[in-house]
Amino acid sequence: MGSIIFRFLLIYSAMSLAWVACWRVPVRSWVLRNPLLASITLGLITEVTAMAAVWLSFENSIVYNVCVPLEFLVLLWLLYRFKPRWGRVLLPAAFLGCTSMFIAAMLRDPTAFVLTEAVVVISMILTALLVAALWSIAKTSESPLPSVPEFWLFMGLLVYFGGLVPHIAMVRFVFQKNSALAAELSFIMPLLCILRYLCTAGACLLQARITGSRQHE
Amino acid sequence: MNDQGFIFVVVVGTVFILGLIGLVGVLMAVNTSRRHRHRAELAEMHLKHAHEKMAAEREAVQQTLREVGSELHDNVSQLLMVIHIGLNWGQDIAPDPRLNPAREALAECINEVRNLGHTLNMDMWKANTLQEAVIRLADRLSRAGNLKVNVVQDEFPLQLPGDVGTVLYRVCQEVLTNAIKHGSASTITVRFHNNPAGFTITDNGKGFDPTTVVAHAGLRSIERRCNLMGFDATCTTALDQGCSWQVRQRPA
Repeated sequence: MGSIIFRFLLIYSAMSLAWVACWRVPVRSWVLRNPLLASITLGLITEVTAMAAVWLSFENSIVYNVCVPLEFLVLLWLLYRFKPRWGRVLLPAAFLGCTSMFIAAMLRDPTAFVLTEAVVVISMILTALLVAALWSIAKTSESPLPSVPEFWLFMGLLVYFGGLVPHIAMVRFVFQKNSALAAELSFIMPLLCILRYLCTAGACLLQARITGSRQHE
Repeated sequence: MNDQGFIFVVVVGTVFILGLIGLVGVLMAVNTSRRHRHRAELAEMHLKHAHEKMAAEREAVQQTLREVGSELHDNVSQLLMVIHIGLNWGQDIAPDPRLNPAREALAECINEVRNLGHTLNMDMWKANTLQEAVIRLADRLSRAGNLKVNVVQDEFPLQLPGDVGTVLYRVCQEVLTNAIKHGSASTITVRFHNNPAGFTITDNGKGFDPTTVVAHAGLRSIERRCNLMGFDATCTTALDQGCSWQVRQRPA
């Protein structure tokens, strides 16, 4: 229980840091600010609710099963704000992700299990879109990538969603062979989550600095 | 943790991390190439802008020179001529010998103003080459004092647009005047060359220390004017070792 609380605390710290950093970015200075803030807020609410459920000895799978499609849609909104031209691709992607979630919920009880198949589909869709976004930044940016906030933001999301796919696949496979090893691998998810929010916080701080220097000029 | 499971986890983790590192590397390479391209585009744009600016400045210089030339020839020269006629009026009745120096100076002035008007006229450069104008200048200077000005020509005369000819002629004049006035030179050699187009003026005067006279307005003016016409002007000199000016057309 102690290690779980410690992990949650670490995740909350990273999320809170990202939330404060995102909040400090002036509203009109960054088109990604609002969807990003919505995504962090959603993640924060999910983690707090999940922790409360664990605390009260309830099953918290339903919290994640509700959060995953919502967060997916918010991230698609973020990608749409980044590249409005991608609207025609993002709509089918949203449809595909939601459909996979719906089918998974039909096949398994969403209140008892996290719908990992749907999570894998959604993660793969987001991974593909994030790689495309990063490629687009690399192709169009006139400044070095480390000084582009979007690069850190999408890199953090890619580490998280890209890491989810092999992690979930691996854990399920390892679980059948060695359940103790699978339990030991549970640290990967919080690690990916912390990395994601630290990258997000870094991106927001970078954006705030860029905005500040522009206003100063 | 059994060995097989551990190896599997390590392999998957390594592949994932290597994949991410590879992706970041590829992105960095793509971005670097993009930035190099962008920098090259910017440089090209600046160059184009500089060329356009230079062309506009040249056009303005050409226009100004043409106007000044025709003003000198058509207006100032005519006014001087009126004064000349006025001074000579009634000379047959009572010539005043005291006015003779003034009459001579005025005649010389009219001549100089006409010459100036001619050299500023762009159309003149269609009929004359820069070499011919400099040879005439060298003759005039050689006749005027204890000075020898040699002009060495290349096989083919330089073919230059009117405004370039005018500006380079003025540069030649200034360099020669400097050599006489400041350098006290007794021999000056003007050598024209075609490849690259330009000329070299060498004198045996006093020269100067370039570290002390580096920001002199006259020197900067020569460089600036040549630069405007697409030429590079370089002065090589040392104290008591004469002075050498190299004016060369920049490669296109």
